[in-house]
Parts: sequence; structure tokens; C-alpha cells
Amino acid sequence: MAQTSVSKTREHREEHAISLRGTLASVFIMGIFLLLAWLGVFILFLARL
Amino acid sequence: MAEAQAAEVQSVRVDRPAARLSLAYVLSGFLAFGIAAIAGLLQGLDRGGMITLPKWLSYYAVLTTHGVYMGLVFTTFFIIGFFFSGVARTTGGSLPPAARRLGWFGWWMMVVGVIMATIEILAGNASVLYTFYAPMKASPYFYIGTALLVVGSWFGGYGVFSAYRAWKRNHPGKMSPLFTFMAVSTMALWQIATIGVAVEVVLQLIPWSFGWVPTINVLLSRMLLWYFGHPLVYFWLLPAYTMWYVNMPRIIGGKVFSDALARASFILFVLLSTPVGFHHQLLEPGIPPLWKFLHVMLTMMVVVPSLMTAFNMFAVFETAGRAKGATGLFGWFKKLPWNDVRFTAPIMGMIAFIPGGAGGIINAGYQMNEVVHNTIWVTGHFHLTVATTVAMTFFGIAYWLIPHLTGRRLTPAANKVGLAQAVIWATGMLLMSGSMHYMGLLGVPRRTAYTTYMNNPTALSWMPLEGTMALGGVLLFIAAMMMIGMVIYLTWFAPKGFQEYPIGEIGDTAEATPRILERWPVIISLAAVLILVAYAYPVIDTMQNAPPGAPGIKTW
Repeated sequence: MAQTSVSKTREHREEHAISLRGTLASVFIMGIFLLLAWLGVFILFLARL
Repeated sequence: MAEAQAAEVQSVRVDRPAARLSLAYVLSGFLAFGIAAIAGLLQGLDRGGMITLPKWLSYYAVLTTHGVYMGLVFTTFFIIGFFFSGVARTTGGSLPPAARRLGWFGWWMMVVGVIMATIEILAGNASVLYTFYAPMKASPYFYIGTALLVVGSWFGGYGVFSAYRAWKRNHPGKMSPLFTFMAVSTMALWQIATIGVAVEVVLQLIPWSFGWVPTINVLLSRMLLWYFGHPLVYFWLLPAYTMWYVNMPRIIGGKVFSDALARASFILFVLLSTPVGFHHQLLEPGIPPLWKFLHVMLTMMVVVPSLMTAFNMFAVFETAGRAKGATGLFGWFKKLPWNDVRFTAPIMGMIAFIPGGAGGIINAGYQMNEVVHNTIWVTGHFHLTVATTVAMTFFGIAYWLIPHLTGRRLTPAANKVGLAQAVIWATGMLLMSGSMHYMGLLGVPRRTAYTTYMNNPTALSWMPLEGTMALGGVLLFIAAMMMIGMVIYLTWFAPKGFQEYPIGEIGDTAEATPRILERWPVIISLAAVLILVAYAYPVIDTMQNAPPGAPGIKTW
């Protein structure tokens, strides 16, 4: 009985599963861009000290 | 059955009285936009060394006109008009009479205020630039005009609140429609933010400008200005975010990713966008470093809801693309409706917000601020955020909002002109804002007319970039005039018909929205606590240990 319930939940989840791999990759690319831009200006600050 | 219901929801039309009010605001906004674009062209060409303005027309008067009209008049009118239309659309198609009355009262007050301020700017009595920083002193009628503009916009907000209350009364226990919630949040943020500038203008600038008091506490006036100045940025951005969260999913044939995430991000903006003003004053003497540090920390926290919005939009696009059969990591990108101006103009704005946001994070850090402070980088930054992200989203909105309100249609030909307009605007901004950013890193100052600094070799080496900036300005002017042409066409000449007001449905996989996300007493109290933490001590300290008062200066 308990097993049926677990498998039903899994089925339910799979039914609603959507792939957001592209979203994950996109936010990472955006994050790296933010970081690089920040680092670039910080290096400029250090170079001008 | 579900499709029939969805079609019925999408066929709701904003009724005549609400459409007239909304249209009055939107068209006034575009009139201001056209005037600001002319001023922008003159300013860009003069600053780039392409033309010399006649003696009777000061560069700084033109700059003030461009900044005030673009940053305050166009945006405020457009935003209130857009919100009135969307609140009407999502609460049954009309606005309660009380909301309309408040809306019209606010509109008239704003129009009178703008006329007063304009007369003073054109008369050369108010070339105090867009930030009207003391101790530069303008005519008192300029300050009264801007105060009327702000107070008028409060009545626009009261109109939105009144429609929201009426809906809540008729739907006890229900969460409000997402668009209406976002309009209420933005106008609440606006009420909180404008307290600062209202206090500055009414209690400091106007008495000082009339000569009732001889001097002004400059530090306090700037604190009050930036208490308002940063949330002003979010007052511009949140209507664009509203479009992205609510309207965009419908335009691309997708669904709202998560109602709860959308509301949570707006609440974070209400909480965090005000107690951050000192990051505009990092090089201001008189503010202890600890307080600057606190504001910088809070500024970094207000990045979070923008990152949430970015995640949400990628998810909306990917989900819609995959539902249309997209495969691979980025296959969904190709499935987006790139030939539809209602989508293309706003997404260009979204893309611009990635470097725009990166620039914002750079500006807000103390060390990086020392690199870019008072350079033209900052001008480039807000031309990316406001003049690209926000403006292009507003253009995208106008292409369906205006025909919806006037009972006309966006034709395929008008759509093509719109696409060209968006591309020209984006290209112009890439050239102008790009060269501004680069020049800023070289140390080129902002807020200055054309100068070669007595033919200093370093300053002369900037000239090609100044020319690129002016070229970008010319492209922007062309795109602005195309936009004005489209506004006229869609208001009076496009074929009659029904243009859908796109409102996205909540996605099937979205979780239920927690009720805390609409508990206004909790949200507003928290916002007040944060503001007190960030501002109470520095403001009291600045008044008790005031710097020497400054008499007014006329620099032009």
C-alpha cells in the first residue's frame, strides 16, 4: 500500500516535470558575466592605486 | 472548455471611461518623450562637438529639459497610464468612479506642474540638471512645478489603491490578480520613495529659493534626494517587470512561471529599494563610512529580486519553447516570436539589462565607485537601464496598449515598422551607451558641455568616442521620431478592430501562493523598519551637526 503511494507520488512529479536545463545554463552564463565585469573594474581600480 | 474560458478572459476589453483616462496619461507621456528626444539630440550633437548651440540656448538648459522630461515626465505619465489600464483589465474591464476621479485629478495636477517647470527651464531660470542638486538654485516655480508633478502622481497611486480596495471588497479572502498586485506594490513603493524628495522640495528648496531662509543644509538635501533617487529607479523598472511577468508569457504563447515568485520579488523591492540611497553618495563627505557600508550591503540585497526575475524569464521562455517542441540546451531560444514587436522590443531591453545590472553592481561597490564616480560611465549606465531596458519595454507595451485603448489594431505593416524602430533604437543605444561606458573608464567627466580642456592631448584623444556617442544619439532620435509616428498612427489612423490586452495565465506546475505575500500591514511595517535603521541616525546626525549652510549658486 505504502509502495503504491510512493510510486503514485513519483508519477505525479514526473507528469509535472519540466526541463529547465537551458534556464540553469543561462543564469550561470549571466552570473559569470556579472562576475567578470565586476572583476574587470576592480582590477582597473587596483591598477590605478 | 479550458481553452474557451481562456479565450473569454483574453477578450476582456478596457471600457471607454478607463481607456480615456489611461490614454490621457500614456499620450501625455509620449508627448514628453518627443520633446525630450529633441533636447537629447541637441545635447548629444553639442557634447560630441558636431554643432554649437546658439548663445540664447544653454547646453545645461537643454540637459535639464532632456533629463526632467525623459526621467520624470515621460516615465511617470506612462507608468500610471499603463497601471490604470492593467488594473481595469484584470479586475473586470473597468475602474470604479472614485478611482477615475482620483486619476483625472492627479493628471491635471501633473500637467500644471510640468507646464510650470517647463516655463522656468525655457526661461533659463532652472538649469539645475535633472538631480537639481543644491546649492545650485533654481526659480521657486520650478520646484513648485516638480512638487505638483510628484503630488499629482500620488493621486494616480490613490486611484490604483482605490480600484484594488473595491476589488478586494467584492472578492473577500481571494488573492488579487497578479497585475493589480504589481501595480499596487509599485505605487506603494512610489509613495514611500517620494516622501524624501517632497520633504526636500517643500521644506528646504522652496523656502530657500524664495529667500525666506538664506542658506541650505546641502548634505541633508542630498540625503533626501537619494532617499528618493534610488527607489525612483525601481519605480521605472517595476512596470517593465510587470510586463515581463504578466503580459510577456501570453505574447509568447506560454504561461506565468510562478505567481508566488513574482509577488515575492516585488515585495523584496518594496522592502529593499529605499534604504540604499548612500551608494549614490559614496564619495560625499559628511556621511560616516559605517553607514555607507550598511547601504552598500542592502544594495547588494536588492540585486536578489532582479536575479529572481532573470531566472523567471529564462524559465518562462524555456517552458514555452519546449512546449512548442524545442530540443537541446538552447533550442527554445529559436522558438521565441522574434518577428513580433510586442516581444522583440521588450526582450532587447531585457538583454540590455544584463550589462546594465552588471554596471549597477559595479557602481554600488565603494572601490569601483571611485573608478567611475562622476564620469560619463554613470550616464551610460542609466541609458542602459532606463533608456534601453525600461524604454524598450514601454515601446513594446505601447504597440498593443494604444490600439487596445483606441479600439484599433496593430497591423502587420505597423509591426514591421516597430521592429525596425526597435533595432534602430537598440543600435543607437549600443553606440552611445557603449562609448559612454568606455569613456567613463578613461575618466571623462559627466555633466559637462563640449570642451577640449584647452586642447589637452588626453582630452583630444577622447574625441572619436565623443563622435560615436553623437552618432548613437542621431540614431536614437530617428527611432524616437518613428515611435512618435507609431503612437500617432495607432491612436488615430490604424484600422478599427480589437487588439488583445495580453494577460498570462498561471502555469500548471506553479505552487499555490502563500497568503503572507499580500499582507500589506506586515510588508509596509517591515519597509518602515528598514528605512528607520538605514536613515534615522544619519538624518538626525546631519541636522544636529549640520555643515555650514550654503547660499544659492547660479552656475549657468
